[in-house]
Order: sequence, then C-alpha cells, then structure tokens
Amino acid sequence: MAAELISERELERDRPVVLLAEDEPLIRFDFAEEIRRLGFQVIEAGNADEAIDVVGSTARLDLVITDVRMPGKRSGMDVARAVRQERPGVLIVVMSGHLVQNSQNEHLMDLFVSKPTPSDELAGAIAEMINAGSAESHE
Amino acid sequence: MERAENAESILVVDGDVIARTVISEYLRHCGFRVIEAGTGEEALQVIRHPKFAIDVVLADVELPGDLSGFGLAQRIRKSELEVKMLLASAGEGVANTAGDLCEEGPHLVKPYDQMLILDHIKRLRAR
Repeated sequence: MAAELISERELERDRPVVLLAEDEPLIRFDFAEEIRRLGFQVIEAGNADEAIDVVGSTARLDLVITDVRMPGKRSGMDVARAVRQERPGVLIVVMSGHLVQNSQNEHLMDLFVSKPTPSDELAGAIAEMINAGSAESHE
Repeated sequence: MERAENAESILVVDGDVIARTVISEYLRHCGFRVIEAGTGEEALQVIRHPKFAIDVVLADVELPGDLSGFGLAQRIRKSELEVKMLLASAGEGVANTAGDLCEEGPHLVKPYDQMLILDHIKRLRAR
C-alpha cells in the first residue's frame, strides 16, 4: 500500500480526477494527454496494484479507466471490483482487446471500450460521462 | 495551466504511484511536459522513442523490476542521447552515491522537495 496520500492540497478542487490504468507507457501517455487537454486531472497507473493503491488513497476520484490485461497478479477487473467496493459512486470504463462484455462482468463497468481505440474518441466519451454525472448531481 | 508547445520534457521515473503523481503534477503546473514511468524498463522505452525527446530524467534509485535508477543512469550515459539525469533516494548514503553519477552532482533525498527539484531542473537547463 502506498504510504502517502494524494491529498486535496495536491489536487485542484474544481477539476474532476480520472485514474488511468494502462501498462503500455506510450499508449498511457497519449490517453492521459488527451484527457488532460479536456481539462481533467489524470493519475497514471502502470498496473492493477498501483491503480488499487490510488483508489484507496486519493482525496478525489470521478472516473477510472482500466485496461484488463496488465503485468502482475491482478487485472483490470480487480481494479473495477475495488472501485465498486471502495468508491461506489465512481464511474468505470473498461478497455480491452480480448475481453467481451457479458452478464458476468457488466456490473463492473459503466462503459466498455474495444482496443485499439483512438485517444481523442476515448477522451470524448469520458468527458460526456463525467459531464452527465455532474449534471445529474446538480439536478 | 496551458503548457507551451516547446516546453522541456521531463521523464519522472518512480515505482511509487503516489509520489510520482504528486511530483509530476507539480512539474506540469510549472509548465513542463511530463512523461511518467513506473520502472526503468518503461523509462528506456520512453527515452528511446523519438516522439518524446526527453531533456531531463528524474528517477528514484530504487525501482521495481531489473533496472534500478543507477542502471538507468548508466544506460543513458553510455548512449548518444543528450539527456540530463537527476537521481533521488530515500537513503542519504545512496543519494550521495547517486550524486556521483549525475552531471551536476545533485543528491536528492526522498520524499521529494518540489522547490529543490525545480531548482535542479532549472540549473541543468542553464548548463
């Protein structure tokens, strides 16, 4: 478990926070840059263990995007389970080139994205989800 | 904050996602283009990729995987790449040894002191 916390001091209160779990650094950078360009804060995780550490320790979290297959013992589906358990209001986007969304796993995701997917399309979908969520919370 | 298109590129290499996120966000806020890596192997992938043109690497000495921060610094030194290196460590003894491997001799002790790191990056850029 990470010893430190990502506190409110280090996050900007008004900007939604997206956790991105992707093991391929070049793909992760492209996705993260595109999402930042839309005004969101992005926390980058390179495997499921890192992502689960962040789920339990960041002061604010609005949406999690996770790849399924990553190095280590835990997968993106473990990340999704941790989010549902620890942060039930947080949106989950699962992306995979292998997994198929089905009745067994659909409760663990709000959106399923097939890889490969262009980074601008992914960022656009995420912006819509976050904006729809914040509009709902203000109704 | 908007980043200038010609901003310097900093690669932050740290296996602790929380520490890496906090220092990376700070450096982005200072106007740098920041790329993150969790292992030495990931860092090498980024450094070798022409798209990134990394100017400065800030790496923890203790990294998960087979390549430590020292190993990464040695690989960079042996390469033709003009990349400046800053090494940091939680142990002061290790940090001093790390200083010997760096251009300017900084020996950064973790947890990261954001202002000190910014100062070191500015000095490396001025060389």
